[in-house]
Amino acid sequence: MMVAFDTASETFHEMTPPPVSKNNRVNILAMGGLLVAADFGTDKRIIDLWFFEDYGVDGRWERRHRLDTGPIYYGQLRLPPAGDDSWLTIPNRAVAGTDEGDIILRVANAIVVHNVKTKTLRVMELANETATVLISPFVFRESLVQHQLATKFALDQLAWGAAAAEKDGTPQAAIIHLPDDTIADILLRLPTSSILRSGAVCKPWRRVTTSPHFLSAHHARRRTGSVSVILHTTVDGAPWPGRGNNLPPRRITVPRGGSTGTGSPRRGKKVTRQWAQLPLLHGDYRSHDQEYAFFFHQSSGEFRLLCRNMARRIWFVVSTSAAQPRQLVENIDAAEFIPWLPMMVSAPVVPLHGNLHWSP
Amino acid sequence: MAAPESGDGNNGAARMVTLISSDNTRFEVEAAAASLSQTLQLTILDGGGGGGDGIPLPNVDSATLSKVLEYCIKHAPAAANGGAPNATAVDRAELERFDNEFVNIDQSVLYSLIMAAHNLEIEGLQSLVAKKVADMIKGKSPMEIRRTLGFPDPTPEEQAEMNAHMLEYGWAYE
Repeated sequence: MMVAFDTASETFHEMTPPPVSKNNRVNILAMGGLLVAADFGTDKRIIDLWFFEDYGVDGRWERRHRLDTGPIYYGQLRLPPAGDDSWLTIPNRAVAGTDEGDIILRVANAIVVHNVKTKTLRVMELANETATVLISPFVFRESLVQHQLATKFALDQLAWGAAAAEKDGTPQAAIIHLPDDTIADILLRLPTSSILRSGAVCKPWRRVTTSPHFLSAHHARRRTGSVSVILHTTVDGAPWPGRGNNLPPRRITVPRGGSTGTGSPRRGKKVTRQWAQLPLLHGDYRSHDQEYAFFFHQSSGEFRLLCRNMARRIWFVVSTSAAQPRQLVENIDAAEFIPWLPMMVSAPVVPLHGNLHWSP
Repeated sequence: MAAPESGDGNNGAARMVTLISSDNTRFEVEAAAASLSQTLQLTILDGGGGGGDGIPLPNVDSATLSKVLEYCIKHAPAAANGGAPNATAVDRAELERFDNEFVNIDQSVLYSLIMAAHNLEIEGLQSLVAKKVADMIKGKSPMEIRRTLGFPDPTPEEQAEMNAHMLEYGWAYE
């Protein structure tokens, strides 16, 4: 089953999933106006890229690329050969597509960038990284550089603090030199308007208060009271990042050229940010609600949050211009949905052609 | 000495552990108090820190550590009671008074406490110090925040950004 949500009519509909085995790990993403499914097969080394042709008319999936990542080394370990079951425990994900034809995949503990135009493959090892790598596609889209909040107590931050202190003359043990995660911990305790003002205090605070991780944590904290979100939009009006609960990645730089290491961050779409207050959730909506997607409603020009109340098993929409959450008419068999719900929360939503898509 | 139950299964006299600050000062403290630190808790449960060994804390100096332990000792009995369900209103008021007084300190000490609380993962202390700084920020303009926290004067570029921000997000400044 593959589910899509029409943002104009606010109804769910089923889509034809790519014709692959149910056991395969499949991930969808948008690239150059096309919906793409990355099929990691069963051995996770051969990856098929399926493209959805003729969207909305007579849509069908076609396999256009097959790539073999070959054995990938990471740290001191060599991955087990194809067919070995321990492969299956390694989560793989298609992270994002770019307008230049790059598809960014996470395979084992490496980032693999496949270009569909040149059919070339670049493997970027994450040095000395043996723990699971957490990757947010939104961070990639924005800058393809490390998420600051991912570094917990990094020594280089402390070193940076000392260097900055020398430069600007403030004592080293001053609040201004606290690492980002402690700043986030402090700012999370503030009401929304104070957080917003804090964003103007200095660059590091701006970085902290506008990071998806912070916003998501802020939102989670405020859920029982008023809900505020930062609306990130690209210049063409598409919401960014789309949803909040994606975890930040570790240190990753994907350069434009072929080599690993330094390189100027990829220029993403211009992103603007604005704040808006969503209405207060109260009564039955107060708990058990979970946001599934954040979308732009074209005809009203509103940003809306698609949520589900777990206890009452209803879908509802919260929007910036309505005082109350609005319940949606259930147009798809609720029982069929249930097994998919947990996955729909954890996987990124792919917005394309007025629909939101979830991986099959 | 009526020591509180440490909650780690020991009975009788309270078990003591030794903590060693970055400048090599040794602090002997009840295991129950040191266990408020998530970082230390596992080591202590494993039997570490007893006798002459001591647990070295290379990131915490003695001035900060003594302050941290002052907090832990005060809060340990309530924590051992599982969040003090049977604490009287007087006890709670006393802890609150202590907390307020405790964070009434210099910003450089506050900074050290924030770092130590995060390093040692002492949840209550983390909230207390973060809340203190948050209270210093709340309701202030970006410029007032900078002054309160002793940031250097903004560069012309930073000043321009602040002004632009205020224009863009007027409602947040009301």
